[in-house]
Amino acid sequence: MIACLAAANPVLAASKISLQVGRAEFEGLRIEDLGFTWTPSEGSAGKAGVRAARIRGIAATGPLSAVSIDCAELLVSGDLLSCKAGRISGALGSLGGQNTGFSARRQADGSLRLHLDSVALAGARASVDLLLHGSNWALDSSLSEIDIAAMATIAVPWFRLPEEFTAAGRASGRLKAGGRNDDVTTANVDLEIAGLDFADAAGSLAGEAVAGKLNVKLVVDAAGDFATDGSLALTGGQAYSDPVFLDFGAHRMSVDFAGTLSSDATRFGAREFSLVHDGVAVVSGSATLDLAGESMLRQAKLTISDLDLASALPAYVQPYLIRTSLKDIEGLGHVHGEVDVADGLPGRAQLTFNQVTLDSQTGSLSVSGLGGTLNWFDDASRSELAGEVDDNSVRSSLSWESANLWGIEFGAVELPFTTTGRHFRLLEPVLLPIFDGGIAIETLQIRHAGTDQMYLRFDAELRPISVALLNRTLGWPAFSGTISGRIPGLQLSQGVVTLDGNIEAAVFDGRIVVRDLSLSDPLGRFPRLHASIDVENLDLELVTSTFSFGMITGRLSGRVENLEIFNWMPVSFDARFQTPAGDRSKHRISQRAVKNLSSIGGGSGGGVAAALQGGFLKFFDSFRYERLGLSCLLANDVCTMNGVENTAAGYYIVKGAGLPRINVIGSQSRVAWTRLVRQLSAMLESEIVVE
Amino acid sequence: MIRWITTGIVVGCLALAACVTINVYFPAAAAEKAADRIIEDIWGPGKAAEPAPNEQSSLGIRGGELMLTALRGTLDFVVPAAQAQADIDVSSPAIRTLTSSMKARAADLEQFFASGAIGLTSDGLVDLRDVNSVPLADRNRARKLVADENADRSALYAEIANANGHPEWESDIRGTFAQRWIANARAGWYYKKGSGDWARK
Repeated sequence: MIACLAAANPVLAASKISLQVGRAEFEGLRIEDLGFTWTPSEGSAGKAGVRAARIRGIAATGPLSAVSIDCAELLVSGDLLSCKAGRISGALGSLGGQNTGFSARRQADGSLRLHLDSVALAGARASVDLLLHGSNWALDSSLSEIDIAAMATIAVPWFRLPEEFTAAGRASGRLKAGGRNDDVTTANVDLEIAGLDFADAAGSLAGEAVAGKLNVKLVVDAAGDFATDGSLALTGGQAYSDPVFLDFGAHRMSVDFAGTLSSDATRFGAREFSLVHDGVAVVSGSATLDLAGESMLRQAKLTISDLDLASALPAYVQPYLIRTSLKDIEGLGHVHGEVDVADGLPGRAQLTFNQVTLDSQTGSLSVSGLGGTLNWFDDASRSELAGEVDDNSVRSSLSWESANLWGIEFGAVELPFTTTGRHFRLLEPVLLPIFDGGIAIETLQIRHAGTDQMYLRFDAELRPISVALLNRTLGWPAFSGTISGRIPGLQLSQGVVTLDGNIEAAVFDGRIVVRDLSLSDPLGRFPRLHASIDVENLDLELVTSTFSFGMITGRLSGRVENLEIFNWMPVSFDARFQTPAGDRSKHRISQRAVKNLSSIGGGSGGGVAAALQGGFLKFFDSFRYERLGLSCLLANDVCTMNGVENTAAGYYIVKGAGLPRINVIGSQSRVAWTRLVRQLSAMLESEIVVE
Repeated sequence: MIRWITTGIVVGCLALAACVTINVYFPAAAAEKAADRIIEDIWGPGKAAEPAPNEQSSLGIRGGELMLTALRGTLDFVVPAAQAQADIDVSSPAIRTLTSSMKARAADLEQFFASGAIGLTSDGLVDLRDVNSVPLADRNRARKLVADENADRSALYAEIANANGHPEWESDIRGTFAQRWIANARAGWYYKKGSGDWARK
C-alpha cells in the first residue's frame, strides 16, 4: 500500500506514461526520487521501468541506491502479470552493485515467481529463483565461487563470527530454503568448499586450505529448532584445534549426522552420527556439541569400531602428552571399544587392544603384543555403578608378549587390574619375567597418575635373575651371579622413585647391597639416579677371571657412597675398595695382573713388563701380597685417587708380602674421569718397586 | 622472674657470639659472565662479532668449566677454607649433556624466535607468544620444542647450582640466566617484561 505520496507529478505523453514521485514510504521502506515509466505496445503488453535514487529501511543490506528495474515485455492479463527479459541494476547495500536480467510472473493463485539470472553475491554470481505466495516464500539459488569472507560480512545480520575470528575461501553449490515472513522453515544446503582458511585470535582453532563438501537438510521442528540431517566430507587442507592437528589431504574425514540444531545454532545434538577418518579411526554414536563453547564435545556415547594406532597416536594422543615423558610415543596395531563423554570429559571407556605395539624413545619404554581389555571409569561413574554391577564388569586385563624398559626385556605377562579416574590397582599378584627370573609383584597401586601428586606403591620380590644375562643386555662385562631379594616398598612421588629398603645381589661369592636408591625423572630424557653401594667380601679370583684382567686371589670389600648418575653416566661418587680387614684367604697376584695394574694409565707399563720378564722375576707366575685397595672420589670430572697406605712416592695400590716382594704404588692423585673411562680399567699412573 | 629471663638472654647472646656463621653469597657478577659463555655456546656468537664459529664441543665444555671456575673463584674469596680443594678441571657431565641438547635445538628455536612465535620469559624459560604465526603443521612441533627447552633450562639451572655445591642458588642462577638470555637475544626477538607484557628487542 502506498501510505503517503508527496509531490506527485504525473506527465502524460502519447506513447509513454511516466510518474515521478519525490518521496514515498512503503511498508517501512523510505524511497527517494521514485519514478515509474510505462510504454504500452499492442494489446495488454508494454515496457515498464521503475527508478529510485535511494531506498532506506532494509536492515539486512543497508540503503540501496540508483535502483532501476526495467521490464522489456510486461504483460498484464486478468490476474496474470509477467515480465520477460527484465533487468535490475543498482547498488544494493551490502550486496554491492547489481546488474542482472530477471523475469517475473504473477500467477492466478496470487503467487509471484521471480527469477534472477545473475545476482552479484560476495564476489561471485548466483542465479536465484524465488517463489512468493502470501507470507510464504521459497528460494532456490545456485552459487558459484562465493567468497566466504565477503559472505560472512553480508551474513552479519543473521550470523556473526566470534570476535577476531577470520574466515576466507570459496564455496559453490546450491542453496534451497523456504519460510514464512522473516523465518526460515526449511533449508537444503549443498556446498562445495575450497581453500577455506580460518583462525581465531588465540590460534587454538585454525584451518588452512580446507576443502570439502557439506550437504545438510534443515527442517524447523515444533520447538523451533532445526531437525538436521546431512553429511560433511573434508578432502583437503589442514586443521588445528588445540592441540590436535589434522591433515585432511593425508587422511580424509567424512561424517554423516542426524540430529537437532538449536534455533540459535549454538548447540547440535547428534542423535546418531558416523565418522570415518580414513586410515585413522571409524567412530559412530551420539553426541552433543557445544558449537560456541570452549570444549566442543559436551556429551557423547561413542562406539570406536577401529582406531589404527599408527596414525591415531600422532594425531590424537601425542599432542596431549607433549608435557610428559611419553611425548614421542609411537604405535602399531588396532584398538576398538566404547567411550562415554559427560560434561565435556570422558566418563567411561572400554577399549580392546589387538596386537598393539607401543614405543617411546625418550621414555625408554616399549611394549609389543599388547592385548586385552581396558575398563576405565571416572571416579563419579564408578561410585554411581557401585553395587549395580559385579566386579567383573569393572575389571581390566591387559597382557603383552614382551616389554622393554631402559633396555631390560620383560617377558609375557597378564595383568588383571582395576582403574578409575587417575588410579590403578593390580588385583592379583603376577610374575613379570625378566631373563631367567623375574619380579613377583604383590602390590602395584598408582594414585593421581599424571599429576604432581602422583603416588605409586610397588611391593615385589626378585626371583633370581642371572647377572650374566642382565650384563649382556646392558653392555657390561659378563660375570656370573644372581640378583635376588625383595624390592621393598618402591614408591614414586613427585616424580622420584625411591625404595624403602635395599636391593641385594649375590655375585662373585660375595654380596652387593644397593642402599638409598632414588631415581628422578625415571621416564624423562635425563634420568638421575642416586644410590650408595656396599660391596662385601667378593672373591677376587672370580672377579679377575671374569674381566680377564690377570688372576688375583683374595677377597675384596668396599663401598660406593653418594653415587650420582645423570643420564646413565656417573657424575660423582666416593668409592673405596680394599682387602677386608682380617681376611685370611690366600693373597696372590699374577704377573699379568701386576702388569695390568701398573700399565694402566699408560706410561710405565712397558718398563714394568720388561722388569718382570727380565732377571729372576720371570720365574715367578705370581706374587704374594699383604693387601690391596684403591679409592676414587669423583667430582667435577676428576677422580681423586688413593690406595691402601701412603708412601713417600704416592700410595700403595698393592702392598706386597714375602719375597720377591712387589709393591704397586700409584703416584698420580688426580685423574680426569673421561680418560679413566676411555682406558677401561686404566686407573692410575703407577710404578713397580721390587724389593 | 625478670632476672631469670635477663640471664637467659645474656647466656643466649654469649652462645650466639661463640657460633661461627658462614654466609655464602651468590657470586652474581661471576655467574653473569659464566651464563654469557653458556648462552654464547648454545646460540652461537652474537651478531656483532661474527667470528668463525668455534669447534662446538670444546666450547661446550669450556662454558661449563668457566662458569664453575668463576663461581668457585668468588666462593674462595668469601669462604677460603670451605672450597680449598677446588681447582682444576671443573665441569659436569650433566651440564655438558644439557648444554649440547639445547645447542642441538637452538636452530629450530631460532626460526620461531625470529618470527615472534616464541619469546623469552622473565623466569629464564621460553613461551609461545603468537601461535597464529606458526603454520598449522608446525604448531605441535613448536609446543614440543618449548616444553623440551624449558625442561632442559630448568635442569641446567639446578645442575649448575648442584655442581657448585649450593643447590639453594638455583633461583639466583635462574634469575641471572633470565637476564642474560634477554641481553644476548638477537634484535627483533620478543621477551617478557616483569609486568608480563611482551616487548620486542
